[in-house]
Amino acid sequence: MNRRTTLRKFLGADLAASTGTILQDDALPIAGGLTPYSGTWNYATAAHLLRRAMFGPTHEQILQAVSDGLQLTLSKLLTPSPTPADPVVYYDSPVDPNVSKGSSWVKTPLNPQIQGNVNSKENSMYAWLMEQMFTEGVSLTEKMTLFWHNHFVVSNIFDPRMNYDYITLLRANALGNFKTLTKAITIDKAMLLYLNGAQNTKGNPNENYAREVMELFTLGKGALAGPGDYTTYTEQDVAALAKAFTGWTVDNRGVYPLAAFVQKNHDTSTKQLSARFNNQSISNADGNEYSNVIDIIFQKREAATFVCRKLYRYFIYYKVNSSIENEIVEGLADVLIANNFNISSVLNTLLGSSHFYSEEALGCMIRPPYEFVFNTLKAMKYIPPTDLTEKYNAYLYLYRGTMGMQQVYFDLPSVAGWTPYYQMPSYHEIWVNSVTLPLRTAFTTSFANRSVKIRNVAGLAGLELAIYVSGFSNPEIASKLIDDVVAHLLPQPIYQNQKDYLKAKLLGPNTEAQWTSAWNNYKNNPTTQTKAVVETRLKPLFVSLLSMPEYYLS
Amino acid sequence: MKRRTFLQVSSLASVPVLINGIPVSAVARNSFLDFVSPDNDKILVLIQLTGGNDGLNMVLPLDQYSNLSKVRSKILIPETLGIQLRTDLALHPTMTGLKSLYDNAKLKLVQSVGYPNQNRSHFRSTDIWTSGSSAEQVEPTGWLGRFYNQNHSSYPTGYPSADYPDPLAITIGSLVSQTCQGPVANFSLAINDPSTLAQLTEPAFPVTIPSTNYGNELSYLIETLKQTNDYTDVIKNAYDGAGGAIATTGNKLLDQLNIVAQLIKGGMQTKVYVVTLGGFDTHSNQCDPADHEIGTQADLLQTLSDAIAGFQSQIEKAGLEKRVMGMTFSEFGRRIQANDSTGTDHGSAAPLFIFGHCVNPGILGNNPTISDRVANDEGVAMQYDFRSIYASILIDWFEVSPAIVSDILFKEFQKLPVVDGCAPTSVDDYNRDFNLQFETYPNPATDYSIINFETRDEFIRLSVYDSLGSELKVLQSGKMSSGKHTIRLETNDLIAGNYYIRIASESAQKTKALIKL
Repeated sequence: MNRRTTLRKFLGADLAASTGTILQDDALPIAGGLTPYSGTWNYATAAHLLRRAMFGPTHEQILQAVSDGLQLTLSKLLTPSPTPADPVVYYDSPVDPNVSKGSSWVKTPLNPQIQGNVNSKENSMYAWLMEQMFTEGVSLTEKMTLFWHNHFVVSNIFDPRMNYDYITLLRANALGNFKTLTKAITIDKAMLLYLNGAQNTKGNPNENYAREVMELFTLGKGALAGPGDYTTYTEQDVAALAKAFTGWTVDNRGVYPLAAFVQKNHDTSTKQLSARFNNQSISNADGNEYSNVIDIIFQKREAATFVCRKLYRYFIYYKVNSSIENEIVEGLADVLIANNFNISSVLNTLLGSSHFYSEEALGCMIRPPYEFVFNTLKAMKYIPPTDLTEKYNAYLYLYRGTMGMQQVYFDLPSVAGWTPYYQMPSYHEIWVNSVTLPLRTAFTTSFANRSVKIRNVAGLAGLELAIYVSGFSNPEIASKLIDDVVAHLLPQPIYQNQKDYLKAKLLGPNTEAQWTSAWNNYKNNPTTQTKAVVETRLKPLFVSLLSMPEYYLS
Repeated sequence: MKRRTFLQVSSLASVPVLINGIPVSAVARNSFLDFVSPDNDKILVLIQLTGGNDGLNMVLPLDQYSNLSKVRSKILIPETLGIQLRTDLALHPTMTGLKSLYDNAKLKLVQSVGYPNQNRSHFRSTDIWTSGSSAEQVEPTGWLGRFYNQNHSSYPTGYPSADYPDPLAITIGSLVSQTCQGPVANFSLAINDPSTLAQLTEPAFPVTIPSTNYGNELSYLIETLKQTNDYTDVIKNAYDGAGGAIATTGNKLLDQLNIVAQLIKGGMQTKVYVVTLGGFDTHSNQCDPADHEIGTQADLLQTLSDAIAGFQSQIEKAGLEKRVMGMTFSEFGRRIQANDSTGTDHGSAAPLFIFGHCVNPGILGNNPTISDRVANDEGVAMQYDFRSIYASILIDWFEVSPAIVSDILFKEFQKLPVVDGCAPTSVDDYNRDFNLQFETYPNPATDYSIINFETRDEFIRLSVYDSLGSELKVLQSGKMSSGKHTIRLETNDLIAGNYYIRIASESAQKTKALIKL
């Protein structure tokens, strides 16, 4: 009996699947497959696609997608957004000798000796991140940038320049090649610090990155098949990869931090991998060795299935039963491998598939906090200030004011990402509980009421409800208006009792005719006063609609 | 016990609850005591230390210092600075609060708690600890979730109710605790700040909810909204009744425990509270490179120790000390060797604390054995299975029948003396349960080692662990007769390194190091 068999015998034959691959068999039977969707293309289907692919489509963007058709809309979504302008210094003080207000700080010295300097740049970056989500066009770029942030987690790195470079790397590759991105992230400065690669030397190998790159970034952890053997990789492989990654560090001596390879810290020995990698060995290749390692990892099919399963949960639903695993996840993995790990091939297949438009994919995603927040602001026409300082302060308010909802850029609870994306059995239900639900309601209520006081910004902020409903065909007809906003904002049709409830909120003490005349007054003569009249009625409508559990779904 | 409650519980117990696919009701019940007592008024406060706490710098095994100074000199706390609980054992110098609890017979220290086949992934190991399952089993429910499910399998439907007006469990923070995850819903309610609670408007709900994925999630959201409202008033009343918010202390764990204390004082019947302290993943800068007794972990341990002492004092002032017990846990300990970054990497077993007026005070277990040659990846060998502690708390604190506890934890675990029925005596039970004796020779071993041991007439599991905490070989698993026994361990197939022989009976266990040359 060989050693493995002996060990397996002691460990017991029935070894459960790992967290990464657990199958939930209580999902409904799979509907549709990966075959291209050829059914009806209308407002509802277009809205479904854009809601899932973006942080909140406007009514006008949905109408455009209806007229474009599925193929053109998909091709727009798969076109990367242009590189955004850099975040800038947005205050006069503290005075930075290297950069003035309105200019980019991302390649300038940090100047930590000036009190508040680092902090103001961090704030600038956080505000800028919010701006990217708010101003996204019809593209998957931002949604996928957040996906990669949750995948290749970097958190709590206190040099905003490194955070900026890291997020820029993710954005530039958001719809690109998964293998290329994995290579680049391996020697990214922030990642080298976050997972201790910068301290990984020949004398003292640090296994942190070597472990996570397999467990969380590429292969996933399979069933425990023996001591230190996780089916997809073994402890021996962790040790071997750690050695292969030795020598990389962050050089902080110049004005700007750089990833650096230090030859004397690199382990030049040949690293032996386990049978899980067909007993391959990694020969010394100095500063290119990390790249060879990623190539070896990507020879394994799990490098494709693992990320495709995660994409499925990100875009469709968290329940992955065995038929979804076999038909969808494995099918997507075939596509990914056939396209040499080009991610947009998988997104194109998934978002254009019959399954994506089947009943089991519709309206079943609990909106994660950023999607909830920016859908509210974008769909209902929040207008940020134009003054630079005020604009940054407004975005910073959104960053800070939504922290309690438990999704915060660059502050993830662990290297596994935000809990609701991976924690069985509840997954995205974890987003909403007795603490976060009141916070979400408070957010939508204050924005619908235009009662948001933002620090260092004049006036009160909120949604532009009158402008928003002007985009519909007949806002003056109460029932039609309710139908149209429901179709835009809620993922599924609602019942008559719910429509009646919303209509009662809109009308208040007034009649339908009075609403019509109030609206027409505003439309024919848009003054502050006539606008205020209609907004007085629109506010309770939207406070109520945005508090409906249906609004939490996409 | 009220007869009405008893009948209710009995009838619920006959509802089939599936554990590992086997209906629990199919298990024969011999006694009418075979259920969870609904009249039990005990409270458990769980303190989760996330990241993996370095047990060797929290509880200093002074008798191992000559070897420890060889392998973890970069972070080792000077032995003279430790707060001695015993001549061979000291607490981290910051833990004066726990020392005072120890002196007053309110602290139980359990050494080297872990589980076979230690998993060193934060997430997987956290799942194992919160689910109360083995390393090989992926279990979606939590150990307390399964405890609650015994009496509350219909939850959340019908809750709060006249019999259970309060949340069954509470997590302080923004996310519910995985320990309380049941098969249908999480039994814990998340609370951040009871003083800001307010009723939410309930909009018009759908007439019917379709049985689709959409309907599934919509139900969850509606249920959460209703329940948040239902519990808001009872929580506010309890909190305000106890005097409302206590001023923040600068100790973020104590601030959480102060909320717990107010809710308990306010008369809530909630049985479980979960609080969290993060930051224990000290891969780097665990301590100051020059002064090892200060730094990141020192700050965390002081926070922990001060918070527990502060909480205990509040509970005592309110006269509630006989109802409240607390326990710390972390997903794993850290490695014996320090790394090059003044830190430690993910390891294996670690000590944990149980505190309160009703603990069986003292120290349970031996100091870990540290060899003078420690492999880079070596962790502290496990002595006690964490599920033994869960079992003991469920049986002795929550009065759950042992048969049900075996269902909850998927098998029977040895009960440990951690709860003492509120008759505290200042007994140090070091060695109290070590009626097992065993020796192994030759050690170091080349081809084999002979293990001699003595048992009563009892169930014995004798196994070999590697330095990562994997159970490599089971030499004996079954009933043994009373007397002396000899087992020959073949070591030919073991690669050179440190191993541990662990012997466990129903009432005791012991772990010894074995070196393979």
